[in-house]
Amino acid sequence: MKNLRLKSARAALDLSQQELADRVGVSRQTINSIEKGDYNPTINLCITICKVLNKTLDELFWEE
Amino acid sequence: MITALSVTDENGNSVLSCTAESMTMESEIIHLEQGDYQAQFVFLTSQERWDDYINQMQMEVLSEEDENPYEFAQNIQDHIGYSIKVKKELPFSYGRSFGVISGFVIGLLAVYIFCALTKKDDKVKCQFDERQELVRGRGFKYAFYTMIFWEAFIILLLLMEINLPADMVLILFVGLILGVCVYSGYCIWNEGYFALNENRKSVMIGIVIIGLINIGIGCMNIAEYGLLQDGKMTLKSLNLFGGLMMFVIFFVVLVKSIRDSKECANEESST
Repeated sequence: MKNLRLKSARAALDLSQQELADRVGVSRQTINSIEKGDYNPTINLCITICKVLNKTLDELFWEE
Repeated sequence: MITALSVTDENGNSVLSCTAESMTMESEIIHLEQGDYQAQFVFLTSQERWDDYINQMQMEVLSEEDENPYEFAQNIQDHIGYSIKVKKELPFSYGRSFGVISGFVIGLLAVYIFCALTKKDDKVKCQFDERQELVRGRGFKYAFYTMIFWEAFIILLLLMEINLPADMVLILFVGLILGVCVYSGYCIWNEGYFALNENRKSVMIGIVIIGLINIGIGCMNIAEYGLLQDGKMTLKSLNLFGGLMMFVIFFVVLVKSIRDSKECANEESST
């Protein structure tokens, strides 16, 4: 399932996938895979992404 | 019945004569000098034949068995002969061994320098994120399966006594090369090949240079020795396969980069 909330949170900060990847410390392809729903990140990576985007885990990764 | 093996040189002198039993017990490698030899397996099925063989080969019987091994088959005798041609004597060479070991050490040193030169930071070790580690793990798995299937395929051909058109060492190396191709191809396609702290351009330049050097050495070897020796490819063709592997990796990276640049453009336009 696509993670559109992550994509919109990233776009809200005007960050490209590469910029977010650099800040998180992963490859651009990893961010792309998470947004497309091809890869389920570990909780550690989720927390790092949330911290960079100033969001909570629920806001970005909890499925309603 | 007793099976005996005798090897005679071109002058008819006995080089080796022993029974199959002693051959099994005292298993050792015989170094033959340059020349033509005749090898003959003799099936000794009677006491007379055994005595004749002992006299002919000037062998010494070390122990006498109580039971008579010839009782069950009398007056049947047969033999199988082989011609052996020793083209070149290959004695153990310290120089050659030193060359192989020093070549291996220099190779390791070259890999270390290559790893150090292609990093964006001062570290030599590659850094991968968690998804890349996962991809690399899957890549290793597929490469392992590839090598297992290759080895099984070769063993099957050998069991079927099919004459392979290459030396066994080369065939084993081709298995390794296939494994590396599968691993690299899978990792490149799933973005797990290049480390986060690695400079892609430097790595690609390195791959092309190593590929060109290997293909150059391979072509020189073919020009000097020919592609086949005694109808078989030898270890001298290895550089050609190595160079080919480098260009397969380069080609996959090229196709992936083109695909990525389009994907990246689409992503930028959508955000």
